[in-house]
Amino acid sequence: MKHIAAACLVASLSMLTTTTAARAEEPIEPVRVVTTLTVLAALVAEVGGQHVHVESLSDPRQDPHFVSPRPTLMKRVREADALVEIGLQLELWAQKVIDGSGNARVQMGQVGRIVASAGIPTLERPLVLSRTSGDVHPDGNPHVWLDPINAKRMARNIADGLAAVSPQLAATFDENAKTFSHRLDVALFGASLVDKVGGDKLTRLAEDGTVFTYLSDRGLDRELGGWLAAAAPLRTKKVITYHKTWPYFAKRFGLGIPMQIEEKPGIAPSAQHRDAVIRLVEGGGISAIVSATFYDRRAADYIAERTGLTAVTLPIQPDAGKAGISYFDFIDYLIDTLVAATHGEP
Amino acid sequence: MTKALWVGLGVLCFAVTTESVWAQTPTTDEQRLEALERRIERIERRHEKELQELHGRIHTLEHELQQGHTASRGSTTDGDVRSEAPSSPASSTSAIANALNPKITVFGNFVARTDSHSVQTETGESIDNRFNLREVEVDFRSAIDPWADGVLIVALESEVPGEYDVGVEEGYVTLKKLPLLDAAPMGLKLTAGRFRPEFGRLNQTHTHDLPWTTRPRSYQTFLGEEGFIESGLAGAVFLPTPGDNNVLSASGAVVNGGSVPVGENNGGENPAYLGHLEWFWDLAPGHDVEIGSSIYAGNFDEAGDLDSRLYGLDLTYKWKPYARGEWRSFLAGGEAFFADINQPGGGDSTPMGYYLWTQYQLDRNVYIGARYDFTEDLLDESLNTDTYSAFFTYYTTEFLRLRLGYEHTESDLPEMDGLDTGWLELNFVFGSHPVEPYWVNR
Repeated sequence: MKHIAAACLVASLSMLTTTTAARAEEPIEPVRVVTTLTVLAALVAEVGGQHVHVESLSDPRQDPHFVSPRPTLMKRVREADALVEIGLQLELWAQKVIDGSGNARVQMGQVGRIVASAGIPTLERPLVLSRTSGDVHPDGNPHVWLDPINAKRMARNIADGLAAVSPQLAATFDENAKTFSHRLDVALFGASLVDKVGGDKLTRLAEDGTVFTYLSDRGLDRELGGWLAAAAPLRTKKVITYHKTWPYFAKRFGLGIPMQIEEKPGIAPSAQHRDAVIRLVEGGGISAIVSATFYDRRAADYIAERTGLTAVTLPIQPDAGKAGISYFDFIDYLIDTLVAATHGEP
Repeated sequence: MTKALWVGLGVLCFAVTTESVWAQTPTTDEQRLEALERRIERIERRHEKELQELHGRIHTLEHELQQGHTASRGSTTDGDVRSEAPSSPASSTSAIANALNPKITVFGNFVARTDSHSVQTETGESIDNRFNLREVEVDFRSAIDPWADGVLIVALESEVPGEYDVGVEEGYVTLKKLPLLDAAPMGLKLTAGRFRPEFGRLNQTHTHDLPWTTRPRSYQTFLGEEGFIESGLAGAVFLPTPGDNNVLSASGAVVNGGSVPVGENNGGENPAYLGHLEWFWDLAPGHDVEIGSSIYAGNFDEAGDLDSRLYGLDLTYKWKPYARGEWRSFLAGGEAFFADINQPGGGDSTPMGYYLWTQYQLDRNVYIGARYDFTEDLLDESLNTDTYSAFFTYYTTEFLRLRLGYEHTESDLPEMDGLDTGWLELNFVFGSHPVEPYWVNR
């Protein structure tokens, strides 16, 4: 009897061990993530690595404000574990897609709905809410990803969101977000400066707008590398842009934007406003005209023809083309193109 | 010996202490500077740590504030940018206080018409050559709880200028999550209330979203002047299809009979059943096509002795390039209706009708379009009506639209034959403005 009991115990333990071992070896299913924009897909890929399957609902050639909520987009959202959006009322079309998908996991308030811009201090928050000023966003300008420092916070929000969706991978997402953050610090400030001063401190100084004073006071100017060094020529330049797409990029890299071609956000320029832009350019001090790839070029070309300025068209997200797939390639491309476009101009 | 030992230890302690003090007290300028640098570094590290903690707390608070703003998404009252300023406490409090209110949109539709001859309503009132604010809709929508969303649309409609009918155009609840399931099977969405059932291309489109000033006469013949609206239950699912570039969806509804020309004499006692199957295909980036088929099954009479069937087929093609897609687009489509109605005296009436239309976007705010429309009379299919239309549409923004239109009608019905009508339409929107279906202009 004792032998039978012992055999049963051994068998039970061995089964338990086998089951536990099998469970430990069981691969964790990748988290299925859809993003509204390709730049978010790039960030999710950095944070999630091989543990996520990510796809963007929109194409980088599309205006992120206006994407048709087609049934095929609803189908993509239907099976998703998480949906990542910028928020700030940029992608109003996304709610139509989500509602049409019938996926309760990604509705607002559920863990699968990740708002990447959460906690980012926004620029251009309106003091008065009225449509008399066109399509302005009540929570501030939504093009936050064009500042690499904001991209760090977005990656952190994505990591926290993915961790809530898949808690067993939380440590991996956290580690990946930290690695991405460090790589961004190095890309923005240069490896040498990050080693000497530290990424967190440099980030805080950059956010406060005191990084250059700090470096100058300590004789560390020459240690500055990365994008801030590459974009140094932009700090004395001013450009005209089509839409208010670039304030975050301009603030980070010191580029001046005194006027837009659009009369008001979302409002096509009138002939009078176009002439006012030309008069401003003729007054001097403007280096180029910048518009995003999805805007019509005619107004920019018209002003360029009459003023002799260069009109440059830029993607506002990684596009798997010239602007690359990764966030790093994308910012590299923006800086290189803008520096080249404004080279030699006042 | 013991005394000597104590003295020795005392000397040793003094020497060690003195050495220690000597080492810590800078004597030269260089040593003082180094000590000062070390002290500054200690202060800096402590300061940095405190700052990081404060930044973390600010981040958390901003996140919480953002959640408050996010909860109020959709109240898209865009605003005047006067400066880069954080929201004031008052505006934040206001936003949070309003966060649970429904999103409200008001749509107004004003028309002016000029006609070649007299046009009268069914009750004999003249409506030709008039100005008319023909419709005002107030649209409320909100999440009810984690399981359901609610929509209420109150409409004030006028056929005769100055005379308005007020009613609930739609008022329904959509279940987006089932209480016992994590996810709805096949993306099931259940709707209950008064709504526009899914039938063909146009029935779920409100007047203010139409690409023309008038609904096609064939549509009006079979589904009513303002479309088919009834109370009932509806469900919609996605059906499995291979690949990511196409979607097959199906919906069904059971509603009160009546309220539709093909069931005109049904007082509502006999329910009507609707089914709709739709296949959407992304042909290539920027190009898509949608094919739909619909059925209505009900009774034509109050007793339920006479069956009434309506079948619909619809096709829509859309081109909207990804790059500069807000400046160029093209739409073409059509919809056909086939009815089979048992007649009181025996036999069946089998009228049909259809319309074809196209629209091209010339610029960001300018569209031109044309439509051809054919319909047989519902009760006497030998009486035909053909209508030819052309439209020019200009948007200042998505909130204000101006449209000019022309319609020419040839008909076996004398009151309509040879009618030429010119239209001026002004459509305005204020409030949150919910996102429109994918094929609507904006």
